[in-house]
Amino acid sequence: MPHLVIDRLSADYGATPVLQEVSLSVERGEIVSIIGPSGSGKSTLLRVLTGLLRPRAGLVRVADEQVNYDSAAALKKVRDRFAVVFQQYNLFQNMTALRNVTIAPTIVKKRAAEQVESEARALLEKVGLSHRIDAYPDELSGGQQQRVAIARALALKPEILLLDEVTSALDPELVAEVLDTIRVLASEGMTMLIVSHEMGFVREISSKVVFMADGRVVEVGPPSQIFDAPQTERCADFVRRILRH
Amino acid sequence: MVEPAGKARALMSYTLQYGQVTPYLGYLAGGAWLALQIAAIAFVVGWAIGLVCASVLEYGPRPARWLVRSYVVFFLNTPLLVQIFFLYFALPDWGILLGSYEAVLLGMALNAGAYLTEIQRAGFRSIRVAEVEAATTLGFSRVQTIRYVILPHICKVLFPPLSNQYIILTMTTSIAAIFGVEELTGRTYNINAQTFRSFEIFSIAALYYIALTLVASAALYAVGRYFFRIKGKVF
Amino acid sequence: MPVSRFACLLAACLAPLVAMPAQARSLDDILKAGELRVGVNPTLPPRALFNDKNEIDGFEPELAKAVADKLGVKLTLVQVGSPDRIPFVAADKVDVVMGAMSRTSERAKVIDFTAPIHSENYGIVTTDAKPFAKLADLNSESVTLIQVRGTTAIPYIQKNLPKAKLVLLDNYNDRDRALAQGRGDASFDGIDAVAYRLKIFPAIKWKIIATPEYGVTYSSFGVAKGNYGLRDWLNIALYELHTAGTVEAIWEKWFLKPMDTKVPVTPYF
Repeated sequence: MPHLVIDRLSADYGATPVLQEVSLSVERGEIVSIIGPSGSGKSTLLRVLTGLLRPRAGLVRVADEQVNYDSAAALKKVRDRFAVVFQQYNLFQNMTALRNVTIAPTIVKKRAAEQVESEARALLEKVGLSHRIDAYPDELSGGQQQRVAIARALALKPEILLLDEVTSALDPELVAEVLDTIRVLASEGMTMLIVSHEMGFVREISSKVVFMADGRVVEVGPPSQIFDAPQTERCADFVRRILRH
Repeated sequence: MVEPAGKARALMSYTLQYGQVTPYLGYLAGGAWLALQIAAIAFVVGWAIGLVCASVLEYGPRPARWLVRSYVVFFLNTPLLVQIFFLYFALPDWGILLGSYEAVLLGMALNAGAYLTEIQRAGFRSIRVAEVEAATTLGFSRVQTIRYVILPHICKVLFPPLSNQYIILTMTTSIAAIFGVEELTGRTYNINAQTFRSFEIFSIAALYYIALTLVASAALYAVGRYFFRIKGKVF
Repeated sequence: MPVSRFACLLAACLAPLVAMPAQARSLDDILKAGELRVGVNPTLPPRALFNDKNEIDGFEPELAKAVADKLGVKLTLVQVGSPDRIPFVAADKVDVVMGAMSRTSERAKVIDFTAPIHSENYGIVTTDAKPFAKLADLNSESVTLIQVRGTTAIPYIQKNLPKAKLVLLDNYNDRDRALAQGRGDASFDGIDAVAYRLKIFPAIKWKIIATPEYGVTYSSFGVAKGNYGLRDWLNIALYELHTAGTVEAIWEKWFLKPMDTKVPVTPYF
């Protein structure tokens, strides 16, 4: 049984269709990457999954249970299942690294502060920031902020982690530390859906790669297929252009 | 330069006599206290007006926005003196007789309200959508998002300009003297007229104003530093 | 950095403590310069005002011209206000200050006054609906007096009419308007200019009650403390202008009536 099933999911921004009948399935512990030109709907897919954008049609199932995007109460359940890490980290600027990680478990889950804090310390240690827990976001480098953001996402113990171009805003020398963190999560069996432009990393870590264009899934396959022997002209064209750089 | 008949000429210069005005220090302090009151009340009322008007400008329906816009444009583009003059001397012709204190407070609050509308609107504009989205995906409710993310951010952004506005208001209270409010400047004028000790009395009044603004600055600095991590200077 | 800024601030407030104001010009200096600088307050019509050509005109400017003519120097009028007229003298920006310089013993500690230029006659200024007949009638909690800030009647009111509420406004126009709007019941003040004011406020129905019980005060030229040479010369010039009827003539031209109380003119000062 797949961990996540997306079945003919469609969504619009106003009158503009941005996702058109996207279907995809992800096994438990699998890492699936989504690639494609900008405007292809990659990030939109993640926004729909987390309930930031309501789908027009289609189904999402997590562990064989249908996800309901129709009401505020239902959306609360959605947010238990998915956690998202954004390109721009989006940390709460008025909170320390530690508080960024503890706030959601404390106020959303209403869990005991001491336990949440010890877990948060462990998470920050895991992303290599145990020495910076009292720092505010504006005192941290981009890579450090992104690692805090990952820790914050993990603090809610999500079933599936969505990573939205998490290295795109980073200086090149800071990319590696974030990718290392993701590798650790992968080794622990976290199910992840990754939107990324780091083709080398995608190829290394993914079991499956999805190529999207114009809001549709154009091609799905193992990295070897997508990068070495793409079956569609569009995918081949994209891969050729992107690998030349 | 030769100084002819130096002794006789020296008699013709003004001699400072602070001792002549010390009996009035308490009377002046009462005026300073009133100035503080006027500034504080006008600020709080102006802040509330500004909050409502800024909300209307950002999120209100078109006719309400238009109304608020007119209010702000009118009060930002006319002098405070004229505004209070209107409240004090023109309104009675329409049957509304405001007392000195009320007219001054109302004028200052309406004037501050217009400035504080613009300032607070900038605060609303500075809300970071990305942080709000992050809060949403973490499962924050609407109220929690406002309480933990939006408000702390707005407060931090607004704190320095609001502090400045308060200091400006403290200075502006001196206008109240013109309309019969016996605050610091009014009392300074009164003593000046009786004693003619202008240098002495006005320099003491200046010291009182500096004390008022320095104390406020120091307090605001401490609040800003403690709550909003704002690094600033008192001086 | 904070320390040096604080030092600047402190220096700014304490400047008047250390920096002594300039010395006043003696009579000889004025003659040598060929110019007499006189401070007048054009917000007090008809003593001084801005005329149709936006020049300073009125009783005091015209009298100052007569004085300058006697001295044989050019007259320069300097606009002063009530709060800054003493600094103008002390900082040597004017040689002589006018602007309703009522003599009081308190003020005379700071500045030297000449012999009187004119008398100042007082009265209750009210509207015809009010019942007041004498000053004592004003000493009641139900009476609000509207006065102009910094005028000489105020200490008297505070001392002798303590029950009356007191509202101090900025100038006589504001006072008149406030009285007309019913903000107060009366004003106890100089009434010399009332005839002039009646002319420019035809809509207001004034009632003026003279208050001989208060007495009369006198207004003089003011000069820097210790500038005796200039003061003594002014006294003699003023004696000549009084005896020639010049002061009274200028007075009647501007105040539209004779001076209520004649200034006793003596050859001794």
